[in-house]
Amino acid sequence: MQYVLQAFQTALEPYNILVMILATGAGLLMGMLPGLSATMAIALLTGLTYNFPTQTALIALIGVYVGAISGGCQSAILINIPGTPASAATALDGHPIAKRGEGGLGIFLATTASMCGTLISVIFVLSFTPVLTKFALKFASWEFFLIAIFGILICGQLTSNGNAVKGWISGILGLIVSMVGLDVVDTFPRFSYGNVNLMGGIQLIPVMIGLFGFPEIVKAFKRGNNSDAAPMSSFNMKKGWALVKEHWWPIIRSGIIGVCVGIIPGVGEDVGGWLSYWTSKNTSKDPDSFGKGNELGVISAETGNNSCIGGAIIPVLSLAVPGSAPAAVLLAAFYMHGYRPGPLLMSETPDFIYRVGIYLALAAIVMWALALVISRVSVRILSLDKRILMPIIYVLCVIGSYLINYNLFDVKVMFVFGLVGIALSNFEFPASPFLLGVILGSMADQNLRRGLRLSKGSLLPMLQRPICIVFLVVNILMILSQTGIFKPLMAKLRKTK
Amino acid sequence: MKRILTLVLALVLVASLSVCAFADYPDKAINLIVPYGPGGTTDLTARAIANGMSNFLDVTINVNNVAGAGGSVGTLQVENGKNDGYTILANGMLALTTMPVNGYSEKTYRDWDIWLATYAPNAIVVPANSPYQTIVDLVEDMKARPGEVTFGTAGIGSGGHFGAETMKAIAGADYSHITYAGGGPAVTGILAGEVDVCPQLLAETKDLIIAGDLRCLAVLSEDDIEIAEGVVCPSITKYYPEEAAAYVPMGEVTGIAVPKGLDESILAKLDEAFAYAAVQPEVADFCNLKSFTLMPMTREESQTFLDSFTSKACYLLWDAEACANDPADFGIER
Amino acid sequence: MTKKLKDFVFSIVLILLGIYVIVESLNIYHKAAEKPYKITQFTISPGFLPFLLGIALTLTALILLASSFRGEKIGEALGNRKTEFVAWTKTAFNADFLNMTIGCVLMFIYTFFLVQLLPFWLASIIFLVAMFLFLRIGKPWKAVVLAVLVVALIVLLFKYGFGAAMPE
Repeated sequence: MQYVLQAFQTALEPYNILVMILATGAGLLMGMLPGLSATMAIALLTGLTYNFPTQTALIALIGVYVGAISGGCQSAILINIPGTPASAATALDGHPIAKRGEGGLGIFLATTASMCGTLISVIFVLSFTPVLTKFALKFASWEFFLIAIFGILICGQLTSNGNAVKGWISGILGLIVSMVGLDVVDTFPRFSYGNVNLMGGIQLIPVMIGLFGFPEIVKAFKRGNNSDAAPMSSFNMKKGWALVKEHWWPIIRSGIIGVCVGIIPGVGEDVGGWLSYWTSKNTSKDPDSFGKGNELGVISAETGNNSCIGGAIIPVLSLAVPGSAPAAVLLAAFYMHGYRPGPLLMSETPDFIYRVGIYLALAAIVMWALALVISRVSVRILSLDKRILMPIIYVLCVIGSYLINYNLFDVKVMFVFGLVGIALSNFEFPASPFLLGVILGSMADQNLRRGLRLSKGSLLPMLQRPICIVFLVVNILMILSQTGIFKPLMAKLRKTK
Repeated sequence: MKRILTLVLALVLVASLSVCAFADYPDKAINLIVPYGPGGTTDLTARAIANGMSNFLDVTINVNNVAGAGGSVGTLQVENGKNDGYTILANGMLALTTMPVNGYSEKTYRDWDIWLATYAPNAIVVPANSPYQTIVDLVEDMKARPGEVTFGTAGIGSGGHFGAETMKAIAGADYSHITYAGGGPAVTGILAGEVDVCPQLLAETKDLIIAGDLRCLAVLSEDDIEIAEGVVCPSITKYYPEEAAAYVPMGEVTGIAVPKGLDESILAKLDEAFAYAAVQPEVADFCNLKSFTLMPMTREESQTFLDSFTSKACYLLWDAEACANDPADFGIER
Repeated sequence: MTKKLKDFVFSIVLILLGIYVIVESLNIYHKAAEKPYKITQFTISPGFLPFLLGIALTLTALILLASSFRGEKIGEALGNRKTEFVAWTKTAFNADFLNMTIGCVLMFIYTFFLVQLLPFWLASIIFLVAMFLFLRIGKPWKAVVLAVLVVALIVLLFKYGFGAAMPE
């Protein structure tokens, strides 16, 4: 308890408050701008804070992490371009809400949900770190492979407006794209045609910017199509709070799902958002309203991706193994400031875990306040004349693609995937499963083959692991449910009840 | 209006160009390319040294992570980029010196000016509940079941892979190579008990050894290493002095590098800055934390060190038939 | 384009792509079986998952193709697709299409040439001015001033705010 008080004291020093506000603000801004991901925000700030006092640097890094994951929702809602891959699920319902003219409400809900998600995850960090670490170690190669497939199946089903095959095709295409480059297991150059840049693999961020940003930008070139956004009606906070209160249970549920997804090493914020969205849709009385501007969709997705933050930090603290890409950078920063996350943390620096927890919680609250202030401006900026806005966004897309690896090749990749994005949207294929395929492809590939190599090519071990069997059954049911065999069966079941 | 603007633009352009041409090095920010993702050992070492050098040179040093293709993308970006002293590379020498035999580049370590900073040994570790109590148990089992014992590493050409190849050479029997996406996942793999042995760098498993989750059978350095009060990792030379002699010390050596051909005045500046950075207390603290040996070397010393190091690393791969080109083709002697 | 025509065209493209991926993955398998990889077992070869994905893509694309024929005989379906296609070509190449193409070409020039050759700020100013003029947002001087302001802001934010290096 004394540690908690100490942490509060440090955080509430005026200088540290200022740093937290600046860092969280910078994080929000980077999260909002398409193509500047949370990973990059933390990596850039790590360099800047090298010479800061340790506690101040921690506050800055945690602030920017929370800000960047949460900021992505604003551009997702207002212009349908997710600011970070994690907020792709938010755009699904968020943009329709903005089109109704309730962008302010959408942002309020997303931001509040983000705050709740982070706070829920803090509770888990502070109370269950040792138990949850054991849970994380239950996942080995086969489980990872099945989770990757599971993620793509649910994302494909969610985004495809009734024809799941189209969503899955999009997911398969994404997986194929992720095969490009040196493979992780044998460093064999696949689909690289001798090009070193291709051997390095297709970077995620340029693909995301291309797929989501490009179609929206090109749409702006149509003459006389610049007034599709309804005028923003002012929103009142009471309605927002009422909605949040009404959905208290989905918030907690999504939070727990997010924490669990975050803990599993290698699966991060992106999957957390989709999984909690899927759960909310499937347990809802009115699943058809999802994707058309259902407030609950926004709330679940944002709670889910933000609670991954705490989840991803848990294995960082207890094992020094990061649960997601931004958490990996955070781990590096901890090392640089002389902390030694891992099994010795509790005996060497017992205050550290409480400090991280308290800083996270405070960052969430600061983020909430700042985001609402920023949203007043961003609503206005992002509803500017699209003919002015979109070329500027394209310049940002170019710089964002470049900065992820300081490589101009990635800028070309962005353009190519922009054309793919246009093709997908014209032929009515959802882009989100494609993106998730690129994110999860390497995970699926290396874990499948590692598993097979460990078992000398036998698939049997998959059936001997309890978590595997659960995922396997769910995956098969999901595929069958779309093939027409399932529906009459369900109908029969209902009748007999 | 339009004309004035064009004029102003042209003037600014000319001015910025002329400033670049006439100035003492360094007069603008230096980009330090790390060819791996942030958070790895190369990245952390690079950042610690970059900080010292930046204080000495009084310019910003931006650390840019250009990950991909096992370090090749970033390295080639420096190799093929403008060689003006404003783009420098920080890399592990296992990756840099084996690039020609792996077919990623025509250039060898002799085409670079290199300053070496740290040495990090491999540690052969097993889970706490493993049947292997000593390194002898492991070697005997490898001999009894060739190709069956599983080694989890961070991938082909990683520090762990060289550790595994060294064990193979010592035991005279093959192993089953299970690769992960990086050092972190490989450590998770050994913790979860998915593989039998993890031969990654000591820095990556140190804390888990101290905590008792993993057991260190041997380190591939010449001497024993005490990583904490009463926790000593025995050197492999204790058990296999003859067999190991040719390979020890094995591990990752990290440093910074620029392609040959820079002006001597710029190189001299970098010499000084590097020497200054390597003795900063932060760097020493960091090395201590990670059990790295700090061994700053000048350019000439580094080349001499790399002569034997490169030969060792390249022939380990070549003899294991794990690389495409013969080291002899690049003038690398056995 | 009607929905059925879209599905028809795209599924054929996908089937071709799927077949390419299958062929290429078998190539990968053969190459990986040689030195220095020597991976002769197909299930652990780097070509394994690409092969599965190629199969999955071809299968799902076939399902899509079949569903685009639903309720029609194959012969008459092909006839219908043909008339739909002819109808589409008559309406597709309108002013909007032209504008979007020009816009894409401008972005292409910016991405593949200007940014690669010129310093970032100069390339971006040229691109933004060209874009603003093309989209007719107002007088030329307005476009120039706006472009310079925006680029200055972006460079300030990234280079000095976040300490990131810009392309040169």
